[in-house]
Amino acid sequence: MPSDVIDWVQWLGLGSHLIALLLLIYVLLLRGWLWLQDRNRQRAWDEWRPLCMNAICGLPYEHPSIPVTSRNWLFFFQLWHHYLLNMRGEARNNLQQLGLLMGLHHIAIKKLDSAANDHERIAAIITSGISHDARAWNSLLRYLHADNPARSFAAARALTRINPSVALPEVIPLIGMRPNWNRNQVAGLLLEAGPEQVSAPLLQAITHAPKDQIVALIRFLRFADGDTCDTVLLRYMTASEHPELLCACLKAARSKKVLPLVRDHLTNEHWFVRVEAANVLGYLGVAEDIGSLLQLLTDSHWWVRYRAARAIGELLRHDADKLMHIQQQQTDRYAADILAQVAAEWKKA
Amino acid sequence: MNPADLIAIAEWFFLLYFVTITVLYLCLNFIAFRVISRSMHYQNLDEGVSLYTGFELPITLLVPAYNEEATIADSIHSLLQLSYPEFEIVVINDGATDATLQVLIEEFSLQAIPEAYRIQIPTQPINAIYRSARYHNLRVVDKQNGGKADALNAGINCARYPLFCGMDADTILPRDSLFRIVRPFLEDRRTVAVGGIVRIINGCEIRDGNLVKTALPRNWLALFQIVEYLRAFLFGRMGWESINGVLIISGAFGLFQKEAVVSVGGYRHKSIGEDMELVVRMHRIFSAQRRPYRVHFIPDPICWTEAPEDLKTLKNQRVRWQRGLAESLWMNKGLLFAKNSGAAGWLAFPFMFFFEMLGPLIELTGLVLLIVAYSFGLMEFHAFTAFLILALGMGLLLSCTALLLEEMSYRIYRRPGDLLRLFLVSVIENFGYRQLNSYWRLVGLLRWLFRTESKWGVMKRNAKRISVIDDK
Repeated sequence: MPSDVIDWVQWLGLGSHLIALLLLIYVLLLRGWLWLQDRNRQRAWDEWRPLCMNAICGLPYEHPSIPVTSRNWLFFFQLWHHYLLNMRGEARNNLQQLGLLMGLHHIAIKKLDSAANDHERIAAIITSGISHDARAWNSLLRYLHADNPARSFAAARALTRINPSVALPEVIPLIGMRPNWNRNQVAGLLLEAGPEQVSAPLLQAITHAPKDQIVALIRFLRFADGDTCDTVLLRYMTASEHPELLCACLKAARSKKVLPLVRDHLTNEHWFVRVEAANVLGYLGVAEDIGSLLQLLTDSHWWVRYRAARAIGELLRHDADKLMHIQQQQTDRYAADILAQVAAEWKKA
Repeated sequence: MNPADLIAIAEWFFLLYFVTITVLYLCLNFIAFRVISRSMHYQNLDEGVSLYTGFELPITLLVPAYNEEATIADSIHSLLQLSYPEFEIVVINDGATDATLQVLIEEFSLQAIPEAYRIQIPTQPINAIYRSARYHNLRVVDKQNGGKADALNAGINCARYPLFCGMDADTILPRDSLFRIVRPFLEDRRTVAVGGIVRIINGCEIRDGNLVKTALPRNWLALFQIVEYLRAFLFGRMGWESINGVLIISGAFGLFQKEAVVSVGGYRHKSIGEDMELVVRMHRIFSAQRRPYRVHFIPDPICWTEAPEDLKTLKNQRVRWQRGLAESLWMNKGLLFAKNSGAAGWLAFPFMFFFEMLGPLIELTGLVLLIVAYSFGLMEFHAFTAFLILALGMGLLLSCTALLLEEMSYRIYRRPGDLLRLFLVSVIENFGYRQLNSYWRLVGLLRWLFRTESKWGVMKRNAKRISVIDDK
């Protein structure tokens, strides 16, 4: 190898050492800076924590010696938001009041359009929502349609908190269009808004949604009231043959009004629809449904047999003798095995 | 061609190899840097991490156990405390020769139940299935010995939920681990598997099966492995995540869609690296079927595991891992440059093949050649030292970037001296540990070539250490 290449190799090696050393210095400096940040945060939290605790307990509190400013507001937000997530009822209202008294909402309004990064921006969005600050409405509407799912969902939640009756007709149709919104968080949003706010816009959204978005919306039907739920199920379970749609409908079933439709799908050509239908009969069905469920015990698909057996177990929960009798009557080995398992589970439960 | 020419060619080859591998790792590092810094922006802002909405997908935890009598009860007690709305634990006693089953029966009041066992994936025969009289979500499958993969397959047959989590019996999970690892399934319907960052628990304080304090271990081998884990998990796998190129999900903790795993035939029971083999096979089959799928990797430290602290156990582990890697790649060689295989087939697989599978062979050959050439006067001292400086510098550079990523994200080790200790370890590991590790991996590669029979890995536990800490 030519000597000039070897020189290059050596310089490359030495350069790697130098960069590694610089990285180490940078890491040490970063640690120092983060340590200072942590210390300042702890100092502020030591001051603000009693304030939050007093607010939670409904006790009077004095203004702290460290005010909340646009420089340290994220420290206060972290503490305040942590407590808010774990509180309900009056304690939560008191904490919201504390946020207003500390002027958090004024800082959040400024930060909505001038945040240094996404962390600060989303913190501002959440604060505006919790503070029910209507001044943030237009900015939040803009963020609602952002590509970034974290930002757009935070805006959806904040808008819903500020004015659910106006926000939900905007937000709910987006559920079908935004598959990247975390389903669990969407459920949290709808749960917080309550069925009286959710029902009408959800029904409206389902009615007007394109075919490919209906299933996504129907999955959230459990957060609407019973009447809305029945209306949707009666319409789609009669008119549709789409198996995913039927599964979503069956999962949302909770009134006996839809029982005849559920029974119709016990013989659906798709095994996963039959599984859901058997499941529903387990908690909505009546003693007369045992006959239809017994037929499913010889289904070609294991899950259908298993869920049918569990449904029979549910319907005969207080009649162990009858369950035993049915089990002994089975000529199919799988059916007998599954019923034996269900009977044993009930016995031990 | 004379020996000097051969040495010159070898020099060029090894130089190119070292530079290429470092540049590729730095690229992965850069991608991981972006992914982690983006994820840190959303940390602590989540309003639904542990919200019970009924929309959480139920999960089956599969805990294969073989001769785990010392730790199994603590592990299961710790798992029972996980915070998640609906999960079940299925412990699979894989024909243990010690008192694992007896410990489980006594500790959890197990009773045999007549379960309708469904054979979706063939396994060794089942002796009995037990259910706990005290914990409704705990079952134990007692089966004949067949290896870890076979035990996991038996667990899949028993699992009642759509997602299952394969894990080791000694893995320790933070309470919200399931909430974190399930997120990709809620956000992306194409998800078939999710892995997360595995951390080393040696040196940490454990109480009642839960991690209560993190600290660096005193044992040097464990320290070396901490730096290795930082490199492998923080940017090795995070880098591949964004391009759907993750080929490894650790057997210590990974969440899978049951239907997807059953459709590819479950874990391959003859494989010794069953965790990696399954993921590579899913890539191969799903890409060939043109099925939309994603394998995700989340940056949260969701799982803690014990690292070997003695040379013999560490050697066995590394030999097993390398065999597993070679087996997984060879069994799924159809993925290499396959049509529609995307980043997994065109980038991750070749990378794994040339730099991870053949890496130890190339590194050790390079080292031996360097020494031989210098000893026989075929290489000048200047060239000899230049190559050594380069190898050391690049290794150090990669370790330091891992330290930077760690500092930017989770800062698990917070004591002031910890960083300097880790840096020191990054330097020292280049003088002996790296070469020893390469040698073990080469042994693994050779054992794969000569097809030695695969067995359960025997891990020497430090249960005493943990119980001593428990007593504090």
